[in-house]
Amino acid sequence: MSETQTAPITPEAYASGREVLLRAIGVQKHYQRGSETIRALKGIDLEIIEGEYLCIMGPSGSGKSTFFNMIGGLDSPTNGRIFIKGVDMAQLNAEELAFLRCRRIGYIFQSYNLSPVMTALDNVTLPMVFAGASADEARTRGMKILRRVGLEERWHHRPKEMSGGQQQRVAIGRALANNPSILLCDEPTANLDFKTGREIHQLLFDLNKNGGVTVICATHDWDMLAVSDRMVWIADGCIEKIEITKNIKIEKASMGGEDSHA
Amino acid sequence: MEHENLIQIRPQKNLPPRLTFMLVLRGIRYRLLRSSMTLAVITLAVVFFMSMLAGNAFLATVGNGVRKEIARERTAARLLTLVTAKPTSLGHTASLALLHHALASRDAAERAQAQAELALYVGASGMDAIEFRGLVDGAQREKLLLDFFAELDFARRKALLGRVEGRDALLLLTDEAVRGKFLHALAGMGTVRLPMHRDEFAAFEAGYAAYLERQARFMNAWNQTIDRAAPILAGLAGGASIDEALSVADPGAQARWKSALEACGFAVSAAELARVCDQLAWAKEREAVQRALSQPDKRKKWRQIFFEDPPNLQKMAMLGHPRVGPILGGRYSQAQRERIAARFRAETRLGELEKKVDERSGGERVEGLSSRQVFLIVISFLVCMVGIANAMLIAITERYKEIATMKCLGATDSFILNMFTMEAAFQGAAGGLLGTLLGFLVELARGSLSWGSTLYRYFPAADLGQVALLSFAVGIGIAVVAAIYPSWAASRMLPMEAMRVD
Repeated sequence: MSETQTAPITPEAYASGREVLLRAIGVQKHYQRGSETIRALKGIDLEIIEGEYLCIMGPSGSGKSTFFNMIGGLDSPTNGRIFIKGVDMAQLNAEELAFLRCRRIGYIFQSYNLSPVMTALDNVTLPMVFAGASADEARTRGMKILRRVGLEERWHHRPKEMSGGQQQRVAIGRALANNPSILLCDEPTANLDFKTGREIHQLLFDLNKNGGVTVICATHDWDMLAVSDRMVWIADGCIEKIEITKNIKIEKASMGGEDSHA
Repeated sequence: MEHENLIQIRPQKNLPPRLTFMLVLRGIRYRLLRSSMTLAVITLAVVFFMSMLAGNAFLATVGNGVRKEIARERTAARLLTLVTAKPTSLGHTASLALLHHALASRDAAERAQAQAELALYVGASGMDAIEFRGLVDGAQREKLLLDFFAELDFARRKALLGRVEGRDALLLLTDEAVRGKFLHALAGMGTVRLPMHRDEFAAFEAGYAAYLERQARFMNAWNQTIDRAAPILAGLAGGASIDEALSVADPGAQARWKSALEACGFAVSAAELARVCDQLAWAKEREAVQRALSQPDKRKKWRQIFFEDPPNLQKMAMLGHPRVGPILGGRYSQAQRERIAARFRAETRLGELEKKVDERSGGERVEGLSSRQVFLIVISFLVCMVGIANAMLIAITERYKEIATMKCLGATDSFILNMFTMEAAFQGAAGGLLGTLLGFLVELARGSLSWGSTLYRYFPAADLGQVALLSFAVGIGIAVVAAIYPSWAASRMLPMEAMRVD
């Protein structure tokens, strides 16, 4: 197991000359619950390559979400360090973290988290407003992004006038607002039916392959593997295995069995 | 890591207030409806505040209006006292202290009247205006101190002054050693305060003998004026008393009276004199009617017609009834009786209003809030602020996901703080507007019930405008102050919360 924990980046990645976007070194996280110390993460090392599509999987309670939050700059490790393009996230103050979250990372949530009082366009342009874009610029760019996610016609609709799939598209559009390097998706298809989920997968795949954005996805959805490059399996606070998805596709059926007992 | 090119990271800039405002404005329609609890609490607080202030404004204007009307009704009495009575020294102190008060009145008409009275006294006293003004100021201080001594309870007065009372006490205190002891004993009593500063008190006591001498001089001069006037006025009255003569004076006679009074040194305007004559005539007429109505031999007739013999005042009010005419033996026509009854009713109503004003205001002039009202308002605001803060905290806990998501999208802590404070200001504005309106309506209804049409005669529109603006501002103010803690709590929320699934 120990050799899989420090699994090297795929040879193809190095061969393509792409750089490491995100590097986690010995990341640990301990929580204090009463007198008991909970070790949610027990030391994780991981390198994520620019432009790859990575799935983080694992049973609930495995520390998957904790690790995921740390990558996104939402939480800080007890021990260990996380670098994003060589910048140590622990060194950043609140305003710098806000800057990072605003421009470098796009977040996609399981329950979309759109503002119910804003139209699709307003939701998409909100991060641009935070980044200091002018109203005209935000509008032009927002419409372009809505076209990209296929909702140009519905720019003036509010979230409750849209289906779940459409809301998630708006949320993806919002995540793309400031051209982030990373799209961080937390179970993006968990609230969607199979067919709509697949459309979202396709969209993310498309953004990754043609838009060059790195996608990191926490998911339970085995279907997601079909579009991803690598899969990281976290269990009990450690990386249990890292697989190139191409190699495991044939094992999908048996993995499905594993999912049910996890 | 040397091969990695560092990305540029700067501190996130705060959103300018204008943009924050626009963002808040965009959602406020929905928020206001959802935060009905907060809105209700703010509205209630403002209703309370507004109705209290508006009620005071009503009481103040109606009260002052009624008092002025009554003062007008007593013009005759005032003039007659002025030209015939010789007040005592203490009486002069009281009237000069009142004059001092009127000279500083907020009401321009009252101030003008006081100025005229001052000029009259100055003319009669043989002093110059400055010297007389000094006398008026001294009278005001003397009155304050005499009232202060009179209101002390027995034990304290005895401890402070022994058995000495009134002016004797003031005379005793002109001695510096006695005064020193007195002030020391007073300081030991803690809660009892002199009605003026110690230095002012010392200055007054030092000049007390001079003041008394000056007042005596004024009194002499004034008595001489009265004495000089008496034969002239008596001659004009031609045997009858002055009020008798004035009550029947026609315009020509009134003009003669006016010039005679002015020659004696009493300035009076033609309109005022006409009013005096009218009041005296009315008093005579009323007395005659009352006497006629209460004749014992008419009792049987009253019972025959109205099944009872009502009290005199009720008889006066019923004077306009067609069947009262025969009882009076046709001495008054129907039109005459109706006129007398109407004037009597108006007079009675004025008296009732005065009583009501005195009850409500405790006999004091109503200017601003009483300390009890301030206490009630402060308590109500505190309670409301706790309520608002609580309602807002709940609202913020419910909106954790929205806040955390905004933070994920690049919102800084201070943006969240500003946003929630502005939202609170909007809620405060809405609650303030609603509360001001409701409070005004409530108070208008209450005021109409207690004052009737008098309220609309003295409607304090300008004061109410000010009060309404104030309570609107108060609505915003308490909402913003109450929102400080909840907004701060919102700004501290972790962006991680956005990931939570419930």
